[in-house]
Amino acid sequence: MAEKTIQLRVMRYRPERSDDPFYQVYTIPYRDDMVVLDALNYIKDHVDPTLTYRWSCRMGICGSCGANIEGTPKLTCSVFLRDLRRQPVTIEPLANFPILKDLIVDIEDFMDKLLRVKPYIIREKEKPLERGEYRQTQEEVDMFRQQSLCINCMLCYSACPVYGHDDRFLGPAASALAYRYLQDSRDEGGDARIAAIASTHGIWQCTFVGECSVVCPKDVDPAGAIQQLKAMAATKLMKSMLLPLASR
Amino acid sequence: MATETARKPYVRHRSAMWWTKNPRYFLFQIRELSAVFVALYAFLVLYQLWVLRQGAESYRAFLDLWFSGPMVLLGLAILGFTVLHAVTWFLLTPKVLAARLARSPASSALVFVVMLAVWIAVSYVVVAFLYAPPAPVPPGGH
Repeated sequence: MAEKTIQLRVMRYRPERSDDPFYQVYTIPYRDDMVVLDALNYIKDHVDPTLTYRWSCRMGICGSCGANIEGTPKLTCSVFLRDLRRQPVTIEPLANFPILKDLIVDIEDFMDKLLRVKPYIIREKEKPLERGEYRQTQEEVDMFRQQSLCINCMLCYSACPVYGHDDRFLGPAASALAYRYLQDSRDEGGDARIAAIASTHGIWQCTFVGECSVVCPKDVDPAGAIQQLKAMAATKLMKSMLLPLASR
Repeated sequence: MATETARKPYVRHRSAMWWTKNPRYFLFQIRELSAVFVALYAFLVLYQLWVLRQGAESYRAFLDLWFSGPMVLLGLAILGFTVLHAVTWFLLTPKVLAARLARSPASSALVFVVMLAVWIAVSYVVVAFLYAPPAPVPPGGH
């Protein structure tokens, strides 16, 4: 039986050779159990060692192999070639980020945004070690568990038209992370965290397109988290206006 | 000391037609556009009230315009966009609401159906009130 082949149209950017990205088409043999990342690895090993991309775990948990496949941000380790109907299959770097080389984008802006939401438990006063850990009920864990599953793959930023329009926007994953800590019963840093995100380029810039939640490989639902953050910030503002003393 | 780098990040230009590339982006744009029609209707009703104050003659002229072909078409467009506006926002409401019924989050479908039912019920009451036959004048009344 003749070997099955597939055509991949990969966006290349080689800053040392050219000023603009270009597309390169590779035709490679494939089996039904191959994912897009396997195809990229095949190209790298057998066809073109200059092709550059990020990957690590091959099992949808490291969050490093994201790319736009046929225009939609996806983890390349999670898309089977057999499910891609149209050929050639177009693979591009994640949208809305500057390209550094081939499929590798600059993630520095995203890293800065993660830090802005203070992604750690803040206590007003730590209790001494001998008094044990901070315990939580299952209900308390359930309040933030969904948002704690984010793997920082940045697919949501690639899908977000608001971030594509203005990269000052805090964006989906960082907002979901802020929500995760605000909902954590052990955290006492709510005021500082809300102040950090309830700004023009914070959660209020979100227009609720909702595509971030659609592309999220871990069902984190950043769109829902941002809307609930808006409700939390608005409630806090109303309380401080109506009960100026109580909110101190 | 600054280190020399071969980095030359390439920033892509986003097409003005980005919203045509994905049906969900398109629906989002339509949802945003629908707000313009909802606002337009509010202005038309305000204008109607203003004309009403100008006297019977002007109001009759307004009604002639209101029931003319193009205005009926506009009215139908407004109705369509208003329904779209309401339904799309009702679909999104569960995400904002995070309603919790008996400890478990309320299902999105339930929130949507309840809101739709309340909307239809309120619309029915308003329509019934507006189109109710005039109450008979009690004997001896004016």
